[in-house]
Amino acid sequence: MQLRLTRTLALFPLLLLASCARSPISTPVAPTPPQVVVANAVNLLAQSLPVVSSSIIAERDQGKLSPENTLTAQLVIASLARAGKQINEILRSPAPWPEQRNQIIIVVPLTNIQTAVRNLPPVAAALMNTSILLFQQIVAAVGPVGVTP
Amino acid sequence: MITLLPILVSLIPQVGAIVAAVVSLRKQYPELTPEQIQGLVREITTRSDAAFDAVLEQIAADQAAHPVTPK
Repeated sequence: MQLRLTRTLALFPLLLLASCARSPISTPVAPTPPQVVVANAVNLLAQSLPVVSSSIIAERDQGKLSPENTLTAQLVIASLARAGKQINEILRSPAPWPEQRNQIIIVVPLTNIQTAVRNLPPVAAALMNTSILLFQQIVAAVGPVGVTP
Repeated sequence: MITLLPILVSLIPQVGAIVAAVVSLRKQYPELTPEQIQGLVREITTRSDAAFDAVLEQIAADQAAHPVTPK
């Protein structure tokens, strides 16, 4: 119980840190290549998913989450993990960055995932929304389609 | 506090990985050649693929251990 609570609480301040990606100190450095920005954002999602998954399983084992809702949450997590791997494959491809961007944008139907999460109980939904937020940061890092990087 | 210590110690690898990933987001790089960019991307994506594979395995194992009967 304490382990699960500590794990869950650990995610939120880290999300806050992740959202403040720019350093306030203005020193002349080269802009980070967009592929590296996206790869790092994907890595953050990757490192967070095991914590979310373990917390979902713990909720089920405590009887606070039904087996059906657990399955829904696990399907969402698996969906995000597979999407992350697809994005990584695109990033490793020899295609130029504009082409990689266009391929990444269409990787995940976020709407389906958000619909699935909406019907989960509050704690599970909060955990899943954390993961979705991290995935949205990846999409933000890629930038909108049609805008010159 | 003493009872929390073993729990906190066990959390270090998982939370440490997340903190390292967050720090990477803020990291600033010198000018990189295309080859260096590819090498760096390969290194980061290999790391994250390992984490994705681990969570997919965890989910598959859990679903095998706790099958859900459709209603």
